[in-house]
Amino acid sequence: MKAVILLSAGIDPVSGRPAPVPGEIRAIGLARELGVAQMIGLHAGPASPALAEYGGYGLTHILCLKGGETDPVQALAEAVKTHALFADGGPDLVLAASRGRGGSDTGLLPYQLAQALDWPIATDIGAPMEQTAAGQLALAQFRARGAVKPVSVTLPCVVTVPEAARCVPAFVFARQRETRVDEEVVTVHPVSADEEAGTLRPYRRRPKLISGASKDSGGGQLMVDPDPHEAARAIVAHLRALGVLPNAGQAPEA
Amino acid sequence: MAGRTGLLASGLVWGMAGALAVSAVPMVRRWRKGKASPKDMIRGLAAVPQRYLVDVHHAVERRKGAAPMHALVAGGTLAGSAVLAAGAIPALRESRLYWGSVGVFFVTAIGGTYLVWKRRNPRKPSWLSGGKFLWLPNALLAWNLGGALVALVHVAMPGRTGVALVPLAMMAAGGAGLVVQVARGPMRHAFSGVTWLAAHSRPERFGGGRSTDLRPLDLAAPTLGALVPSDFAWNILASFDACIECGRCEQHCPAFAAGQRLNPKALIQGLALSARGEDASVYTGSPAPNAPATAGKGSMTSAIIGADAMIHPDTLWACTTCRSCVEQCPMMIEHVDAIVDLRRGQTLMLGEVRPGAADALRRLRDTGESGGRSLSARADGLAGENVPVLTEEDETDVLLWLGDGAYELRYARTLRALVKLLRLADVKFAILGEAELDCGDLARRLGDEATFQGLAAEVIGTLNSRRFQRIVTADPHALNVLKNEYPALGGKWEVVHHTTFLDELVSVGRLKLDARDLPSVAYHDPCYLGRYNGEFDAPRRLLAAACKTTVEMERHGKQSMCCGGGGGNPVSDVDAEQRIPDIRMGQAAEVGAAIVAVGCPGCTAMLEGVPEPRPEVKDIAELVLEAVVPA
Repeated sequence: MKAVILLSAGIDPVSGRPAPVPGEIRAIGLARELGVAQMIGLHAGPASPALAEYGGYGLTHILCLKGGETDPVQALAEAVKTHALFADGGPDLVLAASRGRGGSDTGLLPYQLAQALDWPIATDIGAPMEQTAAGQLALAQFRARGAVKPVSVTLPCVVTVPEAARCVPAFVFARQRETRVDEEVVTVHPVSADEEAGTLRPYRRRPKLISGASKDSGGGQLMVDPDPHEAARAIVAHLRALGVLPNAGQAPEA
Repeated sequence: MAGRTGLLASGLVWGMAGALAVSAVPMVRRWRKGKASPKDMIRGLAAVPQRYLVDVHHAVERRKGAAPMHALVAGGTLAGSAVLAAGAIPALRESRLYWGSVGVFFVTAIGGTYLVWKRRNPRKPSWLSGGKFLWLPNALLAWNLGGALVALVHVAMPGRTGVALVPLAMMAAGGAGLVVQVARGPMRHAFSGVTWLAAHSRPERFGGGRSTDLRPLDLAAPTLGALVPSDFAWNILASFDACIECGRCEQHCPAFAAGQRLNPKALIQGLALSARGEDASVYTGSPAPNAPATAGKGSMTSAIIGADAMIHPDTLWACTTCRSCVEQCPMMIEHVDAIVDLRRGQTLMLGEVRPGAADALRRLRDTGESGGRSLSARADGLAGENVPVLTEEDETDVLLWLGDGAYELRYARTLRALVKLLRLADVKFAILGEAELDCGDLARRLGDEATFQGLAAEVIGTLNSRRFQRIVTADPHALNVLKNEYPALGGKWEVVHHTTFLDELVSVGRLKLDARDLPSVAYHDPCYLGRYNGEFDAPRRLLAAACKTTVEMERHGKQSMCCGGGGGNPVSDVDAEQRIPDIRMGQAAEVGAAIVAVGCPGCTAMLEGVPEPRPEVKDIAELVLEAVVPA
């Protein structure tokens, strides 16, 4: 497997000094735990000395896309799609931190990149799980309050790694000093203002999910080994009662 | 006939000398596989007699009976053998006086041999090794008794010296035994010890000098630190062979006492065994307490550290770098340098550090502070004191270096006392405020030389951009780094410990003290102030001026015992049976101390962490402030 680790120009929130982002360090660790054979660090922006520190965590090669900072999603997607990162084809996996630490970094980037690549995304992945099917990745998704949910995602995919993940690779100075940090000038075509603005549509009242749920918080209906159709009807009825689905006979909203 | 047995005896000594010389060849060949470290051997060897008779003797005589034993056995055997070798000159062999002197020397050596035997009999003390040591007295006895009898025959029966063939055979057997002891046994220390004394890595230590700074590492070198024996310099390999397993390091090691997985003697022996490619079972002394078993195998080019190698990694991280072993070692071996070299290999080349230490090192790299705390919060404990911050435009007399202890509320109390004293003495002083980073002590002791040099470069840059007369710090670890270790990296200032500075203020009358009638106070010497920087007197003078009753713990001054807080121990998740500070406070209670005076944030935290009932812990600055009277 080949993986791209997205690196950002992180800032330590306490000291304000440039520092690797915890999620990205763990992304390198997760890639190693997944048995990734080739790895490259990709950064949309000019090379900076702080990036070399990722080398100590196990990246032997870091590519900086100078000029890509104006539209990182486009720059990164181009780099991943052109298949030029690895000698033998494109990556199977793009790993990123669930949360950035730079001033203008956004947690939306991995989603936007997945959309641009038309790849599925698995978020907040803290550990690998036992792999069962080829072309699929079984992963452990870390959720709130320590819950872990097994998820499966089709390769190639984008995976984000939270700070809570425990797969912190050891920092080895000898590796850092051998890391190659390359800079490549890329040109991105800024998106038009229209696209940036999104689409306009009339206001639609959102269903009161929370308030509905709180009214009907008692119990529910326990069905043991039900017939699938019966179960589906029960779910639809429950959602209607909550106001999440429009009532029967009412025309769905545009 | 007299000529013939006499010549034979002399020839035997020459033969033995030849055998010893030949036995040294593989040893020298082995050392040469280590890194090059050019030494002026002529000058070194010329200095050996003085180094041996002064510095080595000072350490040897600290253990009762050890010095006379060496004088008698080594002196007698060497002198007797040398005089016997001189018997190659025919004229000498005709003289009864000559044979008489041979006899006297060998009889002296027999006395020494008895003392050698007595060391391990009737019972071998735990700190001594067995193995080949157990039959060493037999070989010595055979050689020396044989020599004495040969001399006796020549004195008493000059006409029938053929009888001397019997003791000569005895001598030959003893000589063979001694050659084995030197070539393949512990007595190799006679040759390797002389080599090491001549080519010592810290020659400044001889003649009562001090050299404790860790040496900077070239971060571009292919191998950083030591992973395999050949990564050590040749003279360091000789120093491992120079270990005679006397076990003084073990007796004084705080980690060993607390059941942490380190025995300095077993460590040095492990290194020597690795370099020689011998099995760990050759070592017969006590092991590192509770250390998990290793494969116990090694070679000049295979890993030293690891469960499948010679030394367990836990051993490395159990060291507090207190230099107690170095202080005690009669062969003046540099255990701490070896440990730091091994740590450098593990940290820089493999990233194999304890999780707690890895976190601390990451924070040091990324935030410049071992706890990841805000640099501006360092002086929070001094908020009420209104201490000025030194900018590039200002100038001050004393720059107060706070250190990482300042984040702690307890230690901030000490710093407040110090600041009040400086105000009382009208000292113009300031702090660096947010510009003060970690000095890198922790990183360096943990073997992370890269992080240390990174921090040092920043700190030196900051300090060189400020104008001040000298630096005063209450943290001996920072003192050691700023004063002893930065000069090699381009930072040279006058740096003093706060006790030295306060002592100076008292002696010139800028502070006046009235000794208070307190319950007895014992001073705990911080390793990095005492052994590392030789400051034993100023704190004691201050204490004597501030408190009426002072007592000394049994282990004080150069022999002081570590609090357990050095060398990155607190962040290295070290396994132990007991806590080192508990042992130390027990020692204070034993001499009836009600107050333990300290001068280090590490010692304060460690000793105050001991559960009550225990003596109260107070920094010298606090005791001095309480005793100060208007001048």
